[in-house]
Amino acid sequence: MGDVLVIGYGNTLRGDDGIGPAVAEAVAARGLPGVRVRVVQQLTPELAAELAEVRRVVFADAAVGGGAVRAVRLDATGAGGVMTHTADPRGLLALTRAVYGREPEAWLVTAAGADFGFRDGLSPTGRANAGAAAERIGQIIGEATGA
Amino acid sequence: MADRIVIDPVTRIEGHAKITVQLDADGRPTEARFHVTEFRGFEKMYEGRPFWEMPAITARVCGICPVSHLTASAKAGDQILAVRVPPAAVKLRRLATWAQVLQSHALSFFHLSSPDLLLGMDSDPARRNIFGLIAENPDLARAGIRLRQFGQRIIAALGGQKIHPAWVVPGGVRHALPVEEREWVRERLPEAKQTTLTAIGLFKGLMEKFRAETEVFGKFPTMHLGLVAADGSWETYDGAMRFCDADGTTVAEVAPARYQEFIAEKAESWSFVKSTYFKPRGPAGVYRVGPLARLNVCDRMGTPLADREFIEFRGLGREATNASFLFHYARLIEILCSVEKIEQHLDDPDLQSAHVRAEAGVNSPEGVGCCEAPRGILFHHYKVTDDGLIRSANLLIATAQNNLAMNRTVTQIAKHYITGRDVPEGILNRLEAGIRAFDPCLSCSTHAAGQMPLHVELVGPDGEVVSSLRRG
Repeated sequence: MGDVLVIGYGNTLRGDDGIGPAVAEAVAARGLPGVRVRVVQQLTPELAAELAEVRRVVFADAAVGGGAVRAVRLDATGAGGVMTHTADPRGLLALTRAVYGREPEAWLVTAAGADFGFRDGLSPTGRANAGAAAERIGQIIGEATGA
Repeated sequence: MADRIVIDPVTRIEGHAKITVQLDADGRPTEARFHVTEFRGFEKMYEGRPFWEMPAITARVCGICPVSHLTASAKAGDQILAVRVPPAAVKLRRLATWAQVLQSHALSFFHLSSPDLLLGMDSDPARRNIFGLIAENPDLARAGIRLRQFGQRIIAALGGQKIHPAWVVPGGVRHALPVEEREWVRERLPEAKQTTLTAIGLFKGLMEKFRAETEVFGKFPTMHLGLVAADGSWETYDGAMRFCDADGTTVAEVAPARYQEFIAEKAESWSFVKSTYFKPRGPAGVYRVGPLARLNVCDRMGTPLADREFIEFRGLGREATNASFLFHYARLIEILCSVEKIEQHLDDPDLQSAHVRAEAGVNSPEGVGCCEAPRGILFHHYKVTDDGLIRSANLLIATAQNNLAMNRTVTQIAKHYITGRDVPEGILNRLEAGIRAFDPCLSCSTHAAGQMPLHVELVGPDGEVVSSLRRG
């Protein structure tokens, strides 16, 4: 079983919606041992197979409003029953538990965006918050791996 | 007093849409409409961008079928470069399109439509989803996840871990299939084939149970459009676009570059998606695209097991194969064909070739790229400056081409099932399921939350809500 999976998700053609992918790429650039990074546009069901194989998963996403960076523990409790082409982290955890009988320890780290218009690239606010979110994920991974 | 039923949003489709049903004074449906309620401004965004970047940019429009946009975009670029794409690159692109069809169809069948099919249209809506399916048939649910993972792994092997790699580029592709990935694919092929055969057997076993739905879920004569190979067989990457009539007669078979001579687009005031029709027949020239259409236009699939299923499918008769409910059946046959095609071509040494890209400058001011996306034929049409910057871009997607047929489908379902103002949830689900048969992809412009509650309203002509139903 692997140690940590980081999944950054969002649409990079919608400005700061690309924060999740940017955070994941920043984490990947660190080359941390035992850490696998995935960049996806949206959470899809087959990711459950990967979640079932790790001890800890960190989802990185953009947020509208709220604090600059927020990190919360998640589990499948309260997940909605409806799954469409896309899922939220809690729904994906619920799917993992339902199909594979287990779910990894999970975190959702969000960074606030300022501009979600039709454009490529992050706003200055989004870029700064993405960097801070990558730092926070580094701390979470350190706690998991003892690094 | 006339009323209107609104289903907003439609669940288990890609993107955001709603259905309205207009009732007459006696509560009988007169017309139903499928509305796409989100605006996509991507085409305008492309103007001024170098056409070399277009595959990577357009692929990011959609998280479900990026390979199709990559491929159509790169093929438009091939024409602007005016080069001959190396044969090895064509083979690698084909491999990616089969993997794309496989993974997208697997999501549609196993996760989005199976809850309706296996649990029943009238089953408890709180349970009629992937979790209910897992409780009912965990092995099938797990197999569906692994089948989709199989297709995604092939795409990742070709394009890297990112879901939107700029692997397909104008002139070819960036690199070949790594040998270790080829071996992983080989190892998983038997399981993928078995899962698909199991699903086909399951669906055929359910056809009697869904006889009524088959008759009214969009069963009407229309034309069909899809690519066919030079020998008339099923095609996803190249070939001619063939229009056939409802009875299978070929009406036109031409190069995709001539699409504007045969396809007209019209805007609707009530939806952000345009409607298309077969131009020579005017707005009456309704046609369908996607799995059902592809199996109606081609002469054969071109692989042993898929051909066996194809013969059975076509043996149902032309009237039957105009039923949109059979999109599901056609989708499964296409998964099977894709698995077999991958198996047939896996040992081709060209898949490891180093000669996979032709390079050139701008040699033509215009290019039309076409391929079959999982949901239907896809066109990318670019006009560029001498420097290769996009002057205009037109993307013609499957959902627009199925729009008229989808509207006729929900109208047919509404007229059959709705007899008054009190509409059971199971009937509303049938309206949605009629749309889901087409598996429309409206390309979420942002990743929406997974929870998509269904909201149904009966609205009077003065805008007053007469009654309301909410689930989710």
